[in-house]
Amino acid sequence: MTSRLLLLLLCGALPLLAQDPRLTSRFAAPVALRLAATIDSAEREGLPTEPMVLRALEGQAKGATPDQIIAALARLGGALRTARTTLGPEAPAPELTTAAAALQAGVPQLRLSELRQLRGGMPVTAPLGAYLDLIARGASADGAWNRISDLARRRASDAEFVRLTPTDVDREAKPVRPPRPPANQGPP
Amino acid sequence: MTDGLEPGDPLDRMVTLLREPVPIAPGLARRAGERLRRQRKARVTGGMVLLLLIGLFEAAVHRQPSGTSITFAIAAPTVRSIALVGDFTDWRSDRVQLERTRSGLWQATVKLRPGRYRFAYLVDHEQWRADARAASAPDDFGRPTSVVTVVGN
Repeated sequence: MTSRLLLLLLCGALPLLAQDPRLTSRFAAPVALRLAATIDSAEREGLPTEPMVLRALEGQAKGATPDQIIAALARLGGALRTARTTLGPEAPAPELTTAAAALQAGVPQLRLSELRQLRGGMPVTAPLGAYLDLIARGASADGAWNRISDLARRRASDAEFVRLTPTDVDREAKPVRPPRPPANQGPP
Repeated sequence: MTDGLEPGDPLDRMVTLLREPVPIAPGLARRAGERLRRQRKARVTGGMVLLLLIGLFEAAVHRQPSGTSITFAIAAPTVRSIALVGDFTDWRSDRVQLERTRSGLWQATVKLRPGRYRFAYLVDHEQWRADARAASAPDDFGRPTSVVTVVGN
């Protein structure tokens, strides 16, 4: 009975033993085990684990407490899950990671699915990243979205999205004034 | 005599003839041996050259860091050191140190594969700073964080 229990415990702990060496080298063993359990759970769901490992390492570098890091991983895991539900089970890891960042930055889920439809089979990573960057640099969310969705509709390349600046968005958003007729028309 | 055939039978003579040793022209065996050795040597040499080419190709692929060169820069005339820390360094501060230029600008160039990376500058081993030219990113840990997006060529 005891041996069976030990075997079950060992089988349960095996995935944790195979945890990322970056975690074991940077965290104390009990913390590394907690992190590995969270990341392992995401992996079993088929979510990308690399962004979670990186977020844990980021927290460690920035002096966060283990609880803060665990909480951050839980939020990121939730965002990745929502991103996969929105973009579909076939969405590759870079897309899910960027979509999760968008969701965490407050981008509505509806915009993710709209962008997926606009892009057809093309990846949404670059347009979504460009959209986030534009907003972070001070462009209005609606103005940036109009510009991004317009480019997506025209099947623009990834480089075209990344080249966008808030100035491009502002220029687009400003209404174009019709040319004013000359006040004094001279003789022909 | 062949079994079942009468002596003098044409078939018996033919079989007997076929069983006789065939004379080989002098030097033929030597020439055939040399030719075989040459073919074997050529195959071995060709194989070695192929292996060498594969090795050189592999070495070139692995030695040459792939990706796009991105230059990170921050103006900080009065600080002693700045490390570039981010997803691409596994958030280790000992991987990429910025170098100070005469104008007080600190910079470093790294090769990055296409993707979206979070990063920040660690100034004098204690102060986190964002990149003023890059987009900022929400941070779970209350520190300034920037983001860079790299697209493929």
